[in-house]
Amino acid sequence: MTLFFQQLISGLAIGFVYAGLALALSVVYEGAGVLNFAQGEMATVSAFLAWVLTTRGMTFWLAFPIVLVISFVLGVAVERIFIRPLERASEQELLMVTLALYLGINAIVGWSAGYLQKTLTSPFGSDVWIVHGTFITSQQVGAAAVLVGVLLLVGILFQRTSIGLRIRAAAQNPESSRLLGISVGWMLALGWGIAAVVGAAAGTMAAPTIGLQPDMMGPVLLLAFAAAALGGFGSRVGAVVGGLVIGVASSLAAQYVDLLAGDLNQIVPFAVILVVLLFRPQGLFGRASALRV
Amino acid sequence: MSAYALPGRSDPGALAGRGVLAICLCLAVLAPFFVSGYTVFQFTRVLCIGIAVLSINLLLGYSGQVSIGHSAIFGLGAYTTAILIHKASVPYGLAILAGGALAFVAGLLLGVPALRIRGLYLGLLTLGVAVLFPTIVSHYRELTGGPFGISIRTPPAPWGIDLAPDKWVYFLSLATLLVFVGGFQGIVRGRIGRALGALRKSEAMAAALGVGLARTKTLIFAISAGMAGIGGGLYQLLIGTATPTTYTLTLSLAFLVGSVLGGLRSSWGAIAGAAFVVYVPDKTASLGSTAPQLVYAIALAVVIYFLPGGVAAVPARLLGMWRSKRATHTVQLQQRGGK
Repeated sequence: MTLFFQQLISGLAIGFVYAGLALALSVVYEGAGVLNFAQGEMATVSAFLAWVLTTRGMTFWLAFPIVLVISFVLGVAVERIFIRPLERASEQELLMVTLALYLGINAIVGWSAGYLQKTLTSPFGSDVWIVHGTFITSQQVGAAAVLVGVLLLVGILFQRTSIGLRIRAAAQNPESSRLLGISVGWMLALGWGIAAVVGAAAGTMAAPTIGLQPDMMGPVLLLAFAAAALGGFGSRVGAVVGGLVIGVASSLAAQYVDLLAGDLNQIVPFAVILVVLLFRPQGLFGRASALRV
Repeated sequence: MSAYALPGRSDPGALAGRGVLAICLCLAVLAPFFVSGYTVFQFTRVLCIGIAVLSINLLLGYSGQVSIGHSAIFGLGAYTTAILIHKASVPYGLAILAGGALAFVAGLLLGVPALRIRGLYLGLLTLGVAVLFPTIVSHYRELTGGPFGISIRTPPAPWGIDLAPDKWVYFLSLATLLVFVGGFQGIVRGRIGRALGALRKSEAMAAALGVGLARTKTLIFAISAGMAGIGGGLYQLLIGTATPTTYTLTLSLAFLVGSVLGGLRSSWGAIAGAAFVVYVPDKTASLGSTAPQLVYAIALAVVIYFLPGGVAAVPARLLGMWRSKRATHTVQLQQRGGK
């Protein structure tokens, strides 16, 4: 039983990271109708930024908000520069652009930082608590607390503020929003900025555990895709729930299913995607879509 | 009116196109006898990867489906060929065809569940296939040789033809590519092509017109996979050793880059795209290990934003510019004459 709780705790801890990235994917998906393959790389840039600032002598808690602000600006800029010109483009073209961004950002990070793994020191210290025989680290608790805070703030922003309402309106019904005087273009850009901030928080919080190198978010992105599929693309609550479920499921599968213990653990997220696709394509929280002709 | 005009004998564009094609074919046949062994090797790589890019064009350019998993399907063809030759001494022609058939079936299996919802899930499923393929291949090492891979010998030319093995594989790949280009043209200009055109415009409309949405899309996915599988088999003959690290997500992205760059809807554009994918890493590797990837990204962006239709659209554009210039000039002359 102790083993079970141990796996549960570590699954939940990493699950919040998946939840953050999945939420970022879902905000972008709702607005642009595309899965942003570069979302993970954008988060990697943010994590490296945090590393640069802290190694230059800044304290983590001063660097973190600065990183979030810069990430926001970069997110908005990516939308303005790369996505906006393709407003009327097909889904395939947008997907290609995010793939190009993925390749480009990954190459630039690799070029400027190299492929040697770096360490981002955990801002939460390295305490370990033992609760009924289960190990819990201060990094796990701290990272989860920060991410819960960020997820809640984003939820409040979207559900309770007028700017959030306008972003949702612009994403869901651009034509009507335009008639109501909402600047649809800027609202979608804000969505990209917010997504970048959530991704940045996830990347920076995960970096002390998963290690800092250019490809660090690759596996995380795959699991976040699975989380977004499970929750239903475009559903923010679904993305968060999906992230936690995926985190726990892959952690438990690694422990209890022999086949999935080692390198084959990678199968878990795709098995989830396949099962969702076969039995509930709209995901747990998504709406089934009907095509209007 | 002009939309219905057939490219007749008097159309200089079509005539020039045919001339260029004939010259290119002659060059392609003669080239291996005048260049070094390494160049023949690189040319053959272009041809094999060209087959894979062509299969992506069929999928992405004509049925609007994105596959990020063609590296795995290409790898499936390569591994099937290697395993059949290595473990069962199957003749290599048969082994390649078996690889293509297996890839075709894999394409059917992938395409069917992805039909339940549009593009998104196919992208994710194929992404999964691409990511999992190297891991699974390394895991089942009794069959695949694990991380060290599995090796075969490049086959000699049959029927007493006096050709070195590398040149023979070159011609085999060239012939296969040409057959596939012919098949590609047949498909996209024929009944399936028109059905796909209707699907691209509006899936709902096509369904209302009686186009079997599910059947057509699955069939195209399977045909595309089969092509890529055969391309992989030929690639295996060329490189000799199949290792898991050859068939990673990066290769899939390279196919996509080649496809977009060459021109999604062109068959000879696929060869141009494949040449880019083969030669860019070679030429830019000295600039740093990430340089090829950066060049891919920049090239992809340039084509998407500034050159829709890819390299294949360039001659038509130039011709169009020249014609419109001449037309304005003529109009100006007429106006002047009228005064």
